[in-house]
Amino acid sequence: MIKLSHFLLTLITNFSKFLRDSLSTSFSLVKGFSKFKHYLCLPFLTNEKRKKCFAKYSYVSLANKPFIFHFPIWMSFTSSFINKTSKIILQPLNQYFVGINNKYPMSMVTITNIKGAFTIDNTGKISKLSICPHIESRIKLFSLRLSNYTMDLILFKAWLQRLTERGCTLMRAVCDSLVLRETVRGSRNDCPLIEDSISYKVIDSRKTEDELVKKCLLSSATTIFCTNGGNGRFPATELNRIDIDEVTTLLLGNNGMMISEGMPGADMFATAPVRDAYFAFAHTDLCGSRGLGQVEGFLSKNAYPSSKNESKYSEWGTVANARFLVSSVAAKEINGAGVGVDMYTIPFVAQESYASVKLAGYASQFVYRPAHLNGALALFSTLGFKMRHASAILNDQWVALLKCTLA
Amino acid sequence: MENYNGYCGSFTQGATATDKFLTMRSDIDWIEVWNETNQTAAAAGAIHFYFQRGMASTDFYLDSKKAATFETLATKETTTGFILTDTSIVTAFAPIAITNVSAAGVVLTANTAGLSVGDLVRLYTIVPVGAAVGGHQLEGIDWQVTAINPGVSFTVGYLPAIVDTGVITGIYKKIQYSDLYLPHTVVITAITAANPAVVSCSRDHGLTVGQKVRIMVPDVCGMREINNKAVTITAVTANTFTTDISSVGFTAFVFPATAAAPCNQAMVVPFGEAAEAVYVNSFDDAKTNVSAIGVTLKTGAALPAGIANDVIRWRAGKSAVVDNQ
Repeated sequence: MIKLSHFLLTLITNFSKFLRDSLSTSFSLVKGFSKFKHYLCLPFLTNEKRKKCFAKYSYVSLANKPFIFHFPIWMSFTSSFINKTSKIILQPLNQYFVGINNKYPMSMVTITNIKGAFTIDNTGKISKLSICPHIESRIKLFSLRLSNYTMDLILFKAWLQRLTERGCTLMRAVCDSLVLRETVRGSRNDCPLIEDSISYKVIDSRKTEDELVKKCLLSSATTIFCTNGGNGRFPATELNRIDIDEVTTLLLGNNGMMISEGMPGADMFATAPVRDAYFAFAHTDLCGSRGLGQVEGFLSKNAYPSSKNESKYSEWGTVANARFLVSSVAAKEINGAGVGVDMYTIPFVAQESYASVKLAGYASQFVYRPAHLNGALALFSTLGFKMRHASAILNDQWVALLKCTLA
Repeated sequence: MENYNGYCGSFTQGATATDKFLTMRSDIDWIEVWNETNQTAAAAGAIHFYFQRGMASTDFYLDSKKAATFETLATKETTTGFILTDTSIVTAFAPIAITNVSAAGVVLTANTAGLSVGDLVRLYTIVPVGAAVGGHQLEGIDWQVTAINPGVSFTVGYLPAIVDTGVITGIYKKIQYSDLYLPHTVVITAITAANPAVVSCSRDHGLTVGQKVRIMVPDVCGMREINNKAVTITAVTANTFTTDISSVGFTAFVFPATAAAPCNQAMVVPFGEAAEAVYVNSFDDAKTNVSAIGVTLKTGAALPAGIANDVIRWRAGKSAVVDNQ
């Protein structure tokens, strides 16, 4: 399996597709949603009933099934499995998350591999939401950013309780986790710090993954310097069309298969066709006019001809047979071309050139450990991530490193 | 709040005491060590060592026992006893000025601090001064240090025979690679026109007999006939390997001249995995992660790893909060 970390090439399951596939039965609710009462099977629960629901959920959660995760604004959550026999009520003004139920039956609610989230307005219209179920009331504050990162989550019921408590103060980062310390002052500063913490840690986990993938790719043996630019730098000039073509030609010569299919031209202003392409992972420093912008034939992803959004979130554009994805943690060698001149290494990859093994259920688990599990006085909560990661280059001839400087 | 993520263990030094590397599953914030041998002996000796994150790397606290009386003396030591290590972290080294690269690969620099034989360095901005030749074609390549004259020069012994660069204003940087993944780029400095063809590299290549590699030679290096050929290695030295093909009659291989820069270099690209055993050379795919997190205990009579035959017990952990104000 090819994985490009947060570059989102292959791992993101399209939300609508997931809904269509997984909610094949209950999705029919959408048509007659204004009559949702007729489809009622999981009524809006009172607190007491909800507890029973949790108990039931805990019991059956050993099964590894798709389920829908019900997340009302003003109370705790409920959930239900998705299958062809049960029907699920979709309440207006609530938010729902769809994922794979997995393990940890004693933790009451555990959701991993979240595929998508949606909400329903008063008219019954379903709208896609960003994925961030743990702080729903403030989801819009940062979920747009977080939604660009797939993540597996472990949620505890206590998490919500913590969110409502005041005085939770982020103290400092400890290794790969954050420590939240409860103060006794009764501060009104309750949620934002936690939100920041979550945002930080989720993104940090993805950056860590990017780092690992980057290190793997940088261990490839084929290194090519940009030599056809005009900035006079040694050993590499600025990025230019000729050198990019040389790399793609090299990969073609080694029978490397391209990753993405081309997009035919469309009758739209300021667009151009996109060729079949290898993928290249560039540093964000190269996004400007001293990097990709000055390369002959560069086409920003905004100018892709497809009316559908076929570009990747991290994609910046394409040059000839290479599509460039950018990351702030991509390879950059400080003073790599002399004092004050940095050098960038751009791995170009073909299909099956490298692999990153995603270990099911253990990929970037985002772990919240509530205070009551940490000591008699429940003073500390911890928040962090852990993951197992294995990457390897499958064929060194299908990876080429292009080194360049800025124009 | 007590600590968590705790580790503990023990080891016994052999007849010859060595530094001891303790692996951990995550980094640690504190560690303490007891020398059980000294603890139970009547003689004086170091018995308890403590180090925590935030202390200078050369500091630790020591409790020593006075002979016979079993009184202890607490001191702060200023010797390196504990070295926190994460081998996956790649250090970026600062650029250091050089003034000449001789034909024999002797690089003149007043600063060789931190450099060891076997290290990799890269040379940059080898700009000629006055009528000097310069050497831009040497830039960006991983050169292996083969000798050091402290404070005067170091030698990159695998440098091909080039004209002395003359007086230059250049820099060198020590290069460190991550232990996580292998291989790395290996630049070819020479290929013989002989049967069989012998390839020389700018650094120790780590190849083994039986390995299949592809030879990549850009036009600037000549010997186009061998470009992109897959060869099997029949013999190796540290920085050369013998191929199973003949290059007799091929165009001569030339290491690029200064005027050719900026230019690409010839290189070795692995072709599949090692034929004989898994992960026996640096061009095998890195399916074994050889990196580690942990702490090294230094050996010595008043150091945490103790001396020969000492029994050492230790515990380490990570604190919920580290608050060094």
